[in-house]
Amino acid sequence: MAITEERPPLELTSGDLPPVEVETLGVFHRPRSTHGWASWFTTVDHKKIGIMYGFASFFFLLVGGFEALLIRTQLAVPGNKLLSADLYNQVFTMHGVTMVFLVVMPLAAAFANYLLPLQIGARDVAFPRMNALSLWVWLFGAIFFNTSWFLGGGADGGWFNYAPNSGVVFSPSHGIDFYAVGLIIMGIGSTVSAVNLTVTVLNMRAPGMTLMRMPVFTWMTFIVQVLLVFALPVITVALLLLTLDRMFGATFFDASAGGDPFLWEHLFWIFGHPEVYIMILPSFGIASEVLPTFSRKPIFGYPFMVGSGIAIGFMGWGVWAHHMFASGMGPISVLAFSLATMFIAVPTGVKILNWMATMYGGRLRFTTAMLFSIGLVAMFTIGGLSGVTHAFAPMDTQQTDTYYIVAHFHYVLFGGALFGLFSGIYFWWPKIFGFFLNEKLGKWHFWLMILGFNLTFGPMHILGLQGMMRRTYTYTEGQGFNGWNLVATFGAYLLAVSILVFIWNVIRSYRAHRRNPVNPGPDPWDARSLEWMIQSPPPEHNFDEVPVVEDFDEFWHRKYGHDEQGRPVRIAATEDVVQKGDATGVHLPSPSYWPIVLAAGLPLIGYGVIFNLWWALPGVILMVAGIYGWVLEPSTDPSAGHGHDDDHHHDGDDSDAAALDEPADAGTADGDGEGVDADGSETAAEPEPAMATASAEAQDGGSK
Amino acid sequence: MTDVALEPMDDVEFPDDVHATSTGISNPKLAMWTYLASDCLLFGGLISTYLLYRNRPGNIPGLSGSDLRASELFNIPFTSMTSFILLMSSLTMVLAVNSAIRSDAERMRLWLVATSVLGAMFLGGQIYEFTEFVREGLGFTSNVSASSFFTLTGLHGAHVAVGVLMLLSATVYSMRRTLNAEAVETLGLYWHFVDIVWVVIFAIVYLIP
Amino acid sequence: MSATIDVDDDSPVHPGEHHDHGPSDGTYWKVFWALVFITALEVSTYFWDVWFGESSWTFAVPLLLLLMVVKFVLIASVFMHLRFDSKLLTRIFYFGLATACIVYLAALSVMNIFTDNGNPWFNDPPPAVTPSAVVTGEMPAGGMGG
Ligand code: HEM
Ligand SMILES: [Cu+2]
Repeated sequence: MAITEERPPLELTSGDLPPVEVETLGVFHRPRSTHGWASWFTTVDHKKIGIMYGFASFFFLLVGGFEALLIRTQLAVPGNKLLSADLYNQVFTMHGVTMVFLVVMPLAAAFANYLLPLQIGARDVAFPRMNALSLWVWLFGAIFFNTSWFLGGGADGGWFNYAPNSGVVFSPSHGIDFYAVGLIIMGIGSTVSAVNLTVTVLNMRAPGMTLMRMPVFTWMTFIVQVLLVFALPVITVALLLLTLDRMFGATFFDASAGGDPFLWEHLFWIFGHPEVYIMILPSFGIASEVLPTFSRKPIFGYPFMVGSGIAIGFMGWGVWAHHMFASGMGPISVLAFSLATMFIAVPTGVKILNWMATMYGGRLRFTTAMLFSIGLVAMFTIGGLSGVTHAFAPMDTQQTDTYYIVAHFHYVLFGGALFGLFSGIYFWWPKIFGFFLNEKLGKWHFWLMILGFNLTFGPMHILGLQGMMRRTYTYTEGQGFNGWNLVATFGAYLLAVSILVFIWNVIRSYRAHRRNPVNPGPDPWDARSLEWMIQSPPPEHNFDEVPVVEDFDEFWHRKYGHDEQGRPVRIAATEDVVQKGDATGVHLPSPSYWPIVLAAGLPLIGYGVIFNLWWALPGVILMVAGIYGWVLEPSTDPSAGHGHDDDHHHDGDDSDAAALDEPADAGTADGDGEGVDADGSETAAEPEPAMATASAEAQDGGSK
Repeated sequence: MTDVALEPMDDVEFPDDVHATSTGISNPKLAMWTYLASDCLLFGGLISTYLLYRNRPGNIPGLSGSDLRASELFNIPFTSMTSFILLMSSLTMVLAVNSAIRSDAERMRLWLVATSVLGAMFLGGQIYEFTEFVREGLGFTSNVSASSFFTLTGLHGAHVAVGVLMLLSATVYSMRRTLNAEAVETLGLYWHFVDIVWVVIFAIVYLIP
Repeated sequence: MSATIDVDDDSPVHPGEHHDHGPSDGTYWKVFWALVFITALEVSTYFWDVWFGESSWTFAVPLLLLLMVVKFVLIASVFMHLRFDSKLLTRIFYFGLATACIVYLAALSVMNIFTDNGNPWFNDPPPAVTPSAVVTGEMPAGGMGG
């Protein structure tokens, strides 16, 4: 995958039109403060945005977890009457959608936002205001989606929402309307963020940070963003058609009027399979940071790690119909997709082997973060194996729509994605908040969670093979499902306890820190990538001085060299390598009201589409106001100080408005053009000769 | 007109490399192309939907809906005209970009306005086409063929409308503030994309029966 | 202001350096006329069955697809500067386009729109279906009949 440049970018740098004096427009004064609670609403700092993603998605984890407990309580005993069939449908649908779109994806986005700029040595993402926009659009979309509980009931068609159950005939409440419109809104937020982060990775790397020197987490997140860029429009089409069906009288998925329910299945899964990789790859990235750190070894086979990620990203597009083996699509299609699905297990296996090889012979430290990453490797392997079993179509026809499938995807999504994310939480918590989480409670959290998890989902393999169907609100006495269901419910409550332990851990650690603040220092784990080179928590401007990168695992190589046996030898004290965080006069983009204003318009439009189009009007007005306010506002407040009286700075921070429709300020294109000649276009290509020699000795990053 | 770049960098913001991006491509342009690549899948999905449904009027006994197909009502000479108009707007758009490169603000505004007028004419043509269809008895809900046709061309029309608004805003903006050539180019990318989508729709939906 | 000045040479940033600018107005006009010509050719196929008889359609369809691609590439390469700009942009855009084509064509063929594999709408006009078939639920929806 050569992204190297054979051709210099086209330059149109000379065409600045005459400047006219800039006056700040707007009804309100521009927000100035970057401190205090109000600043969170106007911030454009990727770190604060990441933290907000994290807390919001953790809140939704509690919501989705509560729904899960309802499901498990209902199924604890045969013939239970806790939930009616209708309510049960709503609860498992809302649970699935919440966990996928409101928990795993945004929690991964939290890490992506927080860490991506730090890991590539950037001051912020490419478009800071758009970053804030993505957050608010997603959050408002998520809240909008959940308000359906109070407006006639939640969606009840399952997260994949097949026709005809998604039609008004079978689902007359507004639940699925909220599903369709809510997911479109969240999709807009994710698209903006995916474009933003893609550009960030491609364009904002520190000097010398070539693609093949990026940390694995950055790589995986980058692949995820690319997948999102291409997968989200597909689900948007499906949701648009569904919206038109349900709210505007079309019949796209109505077989009785010539529509084709199959179209929904295809569109959904063309998105849906890349989506499962969108959910798992960030956790793979996290594990690939945690395992090397706590094994004191570089990641084994870095190029293979990256390559298998890319391969998964590509192949993920060619397997979607394995979700449709039972739909009667014909033997040739089944054969083709069955084969493709078996092949996709290969790059996945490569990753697992590489992680094990990373740990092999290493000096392992079993911190909580490490335990969660090891848990990921183990649990994901089980889930991957059961995935391979239903890659075989004849077997899948036995398994599909049973609890066996539920077991599979919980092993990959909970045991894989969520374990990875918790590993990341324990790993980066001291970096982000400047205090450790309690390790002892952390280990309680881990062991309770892995035990509860296996008790909950392990038995589902058996239940599924015994023939227990998923999405059925109860079962009867004589079916032989009683025992394992009770075990699963017990496991679910154990999981709930483990989450409580985690919350208690956060509260306790925070209190301990308040009483007796101990800063963990910039590099508490003796870690490897650039984010550990700055103070904890990082200063607002991230890097005092943008580091010049000469190596994969740059920070590690600044601390350690090798002896003849290739063993790491200290060459510099950590304190001498890290940055002090005391730079002043660094220009940062100013906070802005407009992202949240613009985003607030979308749910209003959503309510309008569902209930009464007139209600959309205020939403449209808000959005238009938001867009124009945004464009007319220089991205850095001219009067905000720092000694500048113009609003042009460096490439990224001031150029965000341009992508919307036109740039707010002068600095954009000429700024970007200027640097191109010498060092601009080289970074993506081969390392400069001087750098190549300097780092010749350090090739071990990939090979050993 | 590059006085902005001349300003002394008195306080060190980016000590090593003030303005470069790693690829040398500016952020907005890269973002625009990424978005356009993504939009390919949006329009691809809707074109596929139309292809799947175009021969499916609901004239089968037992199925509801009208038995008229969108393709039976196409007015090819008329649509050829509107396609030509959209093509012409792409030309005026690149001329606007070139004027911007020459720092010729007057010309640039002229071409931008011309582009938006052509875009508006295209939209007018589409509205006329839609009303004709409805007059002849083919509404949005008549059958799946009609729904998919209206959805596809309607979403394209919405893209054009957004483009027209952005062009006009950019024109006004350039009278008050500095607008650089690359911003015009980036806006142009969006506009041309809308045009190439129409190239595909015109051939696949209108001309291939 | 309307005077055309060569900013390149007095640019403080790139003194005297040559830039790879986009195409000239003349090139744009030429491409435009080519596009107009191709469009005219495309539209002419609409009258082919009158001029050359029904069978001419067999040629018209591939020709139309070809001309569509040519127009597409011309606009993307010249008007959108892909030919003159960084190759990364070309790769990104055509990657999206290729993904779209492959994925959707595959989905459409699984749904049998290119084959008469139980697709009741494949034939034109659709075959008569008796009401009873619908009532008894034998009416396959699209490609359901594998
Ligand atoms: C080793 C690679 C994998 C293979 C071969 C595989 C295979 C499959 C197959 C064939 C199905 C369809 C089963 C059915 O509905 O009958 C399925 C379902 C599913 N898989 Fe996987 N899978 C793999 C990895 C993953 C990963 C990494 C994730 C997510 C992180 C995932 C998430 C899911 C989900 C959510 C479903 C169920 C969708 C639903 O019906 O609601 N899978 N998998
Ligand atoms: Cu799948």
